[in-house]
Amino acid sequence: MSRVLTSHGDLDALSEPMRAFPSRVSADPETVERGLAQLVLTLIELLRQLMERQALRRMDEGSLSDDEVERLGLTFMKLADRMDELKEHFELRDEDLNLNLGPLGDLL
Amino acid sequence: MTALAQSDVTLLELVDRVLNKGVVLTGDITLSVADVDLVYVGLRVLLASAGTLDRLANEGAAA
Amino acid sequence: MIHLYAFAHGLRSLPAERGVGGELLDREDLGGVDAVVGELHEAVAADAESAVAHGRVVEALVPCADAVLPVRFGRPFASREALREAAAPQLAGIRERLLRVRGCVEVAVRFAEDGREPLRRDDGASYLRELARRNAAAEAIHAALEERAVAGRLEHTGRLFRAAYLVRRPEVEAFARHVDRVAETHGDAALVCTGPWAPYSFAEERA
Repeated sequence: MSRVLTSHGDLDALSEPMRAFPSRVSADPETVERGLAQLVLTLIELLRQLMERQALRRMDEGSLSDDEVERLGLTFMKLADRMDELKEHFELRDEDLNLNLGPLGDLL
Repeated sequence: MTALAQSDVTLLELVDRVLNKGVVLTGDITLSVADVDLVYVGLRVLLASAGTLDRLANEGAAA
Repeated sequence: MIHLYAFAHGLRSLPAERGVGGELLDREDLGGVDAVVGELHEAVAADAESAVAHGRVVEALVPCADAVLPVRFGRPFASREALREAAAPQLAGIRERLLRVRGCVEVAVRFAEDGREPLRRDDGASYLRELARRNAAAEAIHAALEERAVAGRLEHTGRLFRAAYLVRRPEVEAFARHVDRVAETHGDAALVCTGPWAPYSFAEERA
């Protein structure tokens, strides 16, 4: 079954998270912990995106000083790095942090 | 895109929709225990054996 | 046990597709709206195989009805009565959304706006500016695609953007050509477009 209608460009950028299936799924005892990590990291990722969005909006409006922009940018960069580390530790990809959070998801 | 990759993408999009989108029939829409449970159902699907999704993707490629 | 697949309006016939437990499909009349169900003798494992089976049923329903509202894979109901009770408070909203997706299907577009360049920069200000640039570029692509759709939704996870577009059934091919054109005018975007899908992304309540 194929539902691909069209594709363009360098698909490596897309295929990395898409390769979340099937190779890394497993049924060992550590997966419950991984499942919880998935939920927690999804929530953290949601908050991170919300905050970044807020910061971008304010930067757009011009209501942030240069110093604030710099500090926020650095903080978000560090947060992104930390998230990458955590994802790697739990063997989770961007695709895995896509859980439907119902009304919380609508915040974005 | 190869036939097998097309099948992978199709499977991914299908399973993502089935687990994360669509109507949810619960009385309470706040992130309560019940909602975590629903999310958990999604998580559980990911805990499939590595072979199953490979097989499903390969079957899909033949179709 | 009753497994619920979707709600439908103007359901003409049930497809031959078997359900998650290998069962034949059935319908439950909720008053102008049908619930498409399957009777199970035991719960099915919440695994990839069941998810795919559920999805295949939903897709098989699309040509059989005027409108299909997919239901997320969930726990079965104890009985048809339990299903009716659970559905009752949401029926008005379900009818409304069935009307909204009538005659339409969903086309999904995933795109990455960054090529292979990582987002990281040497200083905070550059990072935020690059983030802003990518978001704006993604929103521009989304806006261009949405022009030819009945409705659209954009979300982003990490570095990827995912969008869903509600498109009238006969216009899917034309929409795919539109995606081609938009991709060409946004040279660096990597993009994959799939469909048609039942309108999953337009099935839930939205503010």
